[in-house]
Amino acid sequence: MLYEEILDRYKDKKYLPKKEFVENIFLLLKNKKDVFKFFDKCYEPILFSIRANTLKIEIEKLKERIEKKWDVDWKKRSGLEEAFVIKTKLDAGEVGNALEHRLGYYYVQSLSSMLPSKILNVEKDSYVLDCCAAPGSKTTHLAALMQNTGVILANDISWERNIALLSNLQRCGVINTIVTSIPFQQLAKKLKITFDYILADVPCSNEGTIRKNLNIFKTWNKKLSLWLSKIQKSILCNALILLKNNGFLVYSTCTLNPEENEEVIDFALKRFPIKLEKINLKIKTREGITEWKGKEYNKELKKAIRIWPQDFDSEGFFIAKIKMEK
Amino acid sequence: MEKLKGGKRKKIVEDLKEYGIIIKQPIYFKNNSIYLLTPKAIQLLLQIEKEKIKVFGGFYLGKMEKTGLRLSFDACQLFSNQIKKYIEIDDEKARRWFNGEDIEVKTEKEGFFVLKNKEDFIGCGFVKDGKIKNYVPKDRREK
Repeated sequence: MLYEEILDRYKDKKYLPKKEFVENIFLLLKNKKDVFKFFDKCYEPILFSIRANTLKIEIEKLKERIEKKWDVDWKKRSGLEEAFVIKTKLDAGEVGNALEHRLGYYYVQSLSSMLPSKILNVEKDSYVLDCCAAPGSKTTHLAALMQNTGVILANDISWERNIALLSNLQRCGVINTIVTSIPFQQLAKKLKITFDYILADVPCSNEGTIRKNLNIFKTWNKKLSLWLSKIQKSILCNALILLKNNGFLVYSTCTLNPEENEEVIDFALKRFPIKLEKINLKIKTREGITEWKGKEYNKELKKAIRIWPQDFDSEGFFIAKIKMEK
Repeated sequence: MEKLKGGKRKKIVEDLKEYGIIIKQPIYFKNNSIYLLTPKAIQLLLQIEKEKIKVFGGFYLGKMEKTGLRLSFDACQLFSNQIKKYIEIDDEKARRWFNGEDIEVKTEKEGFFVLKNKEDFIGCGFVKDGKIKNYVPKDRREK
């Protein structure tokens, strides 16, 4: 019934969600009105957002400059003082071709995607690992938060994506990062050191980014999530082996499917001496779920957060902050 | 990559000082290019190399040319609060500079200089006979 209503509501749209996807969203939101709000948002194009690269420019200075070009909304009140949303209608390539971008003064990044690095709360001069780093939005953010001190080991399996990562590191003036390009599980086995902080922003089915790419409605399938869930569990468990005692790991995805989120964390909670940390943000978030299609997850998962596009005008995200307590 | 020590490091540190840049981090050298990394980053890089894993990295700071040290485009902004050896140009010349053109500058001097337009340091080039040679990377030029 709900699916038919969805089909009717969006009948003029080129891409429509599959029945099982709609059912999953309803199971997660438990409220028809909220489901409509979610899909309405999916069909609403996302505004460009940028992050000031504080390694090259002060936030206030960038604000002054971009306000002369565009109508911008500074996200300081949302706890993202380095973020700006561009409300002006833009020409194709306008943000990427702007002088400030070419000079490395900002990075084009969605608001939700800025949160994992902020939540990791890295200290200066520490050892940081970014498991799936390319093309480098979060790595360059971490480098800026560390004020170019300590070290970040940024790995990504794809050499092609790493070319973009290296180029972004250079453009942003990053001097504390080294890059490897091998499957993370292999890297973890060979490394003989441990890290103070780890970011595991793992490959996912990208359900949260539908606003940027409606084709995801078409390509979405249950099998993909199940396959990715196995990879995500493997990356997370290997990353946890490399985490120092009392160190922190942030696990994030831009997907909404519990099999790629809560289930992965639940899997790790059963195998490692870890705890979840409460995440306090100035934006509206929802708790992680503890039950999905007959499966029960650890109650700790209530401390994880779900970001829904209808709550926070950006992409959908899942974030969990883990502390190692050996 | 070769870690620069002693006389070689001293020479580059002196060349950087000419621009007004003081470098405390280790400097690395590869094919006449100079790279910067934090001490912890280089320590980890060497450790990973021992495991026979290919590691990349280092901020490209500049290149040792026969005529002196040429600062990279990105080093010009990263060290903007230190740079003293620069020539100021107007908007029209900056527009041509970002189109990849060599431009006329008012100086009798010769050598590498950083260009400044308003508050931006927009790259480094070689000045000779009143012209500065353009080195703006293609992906940073005006499209």
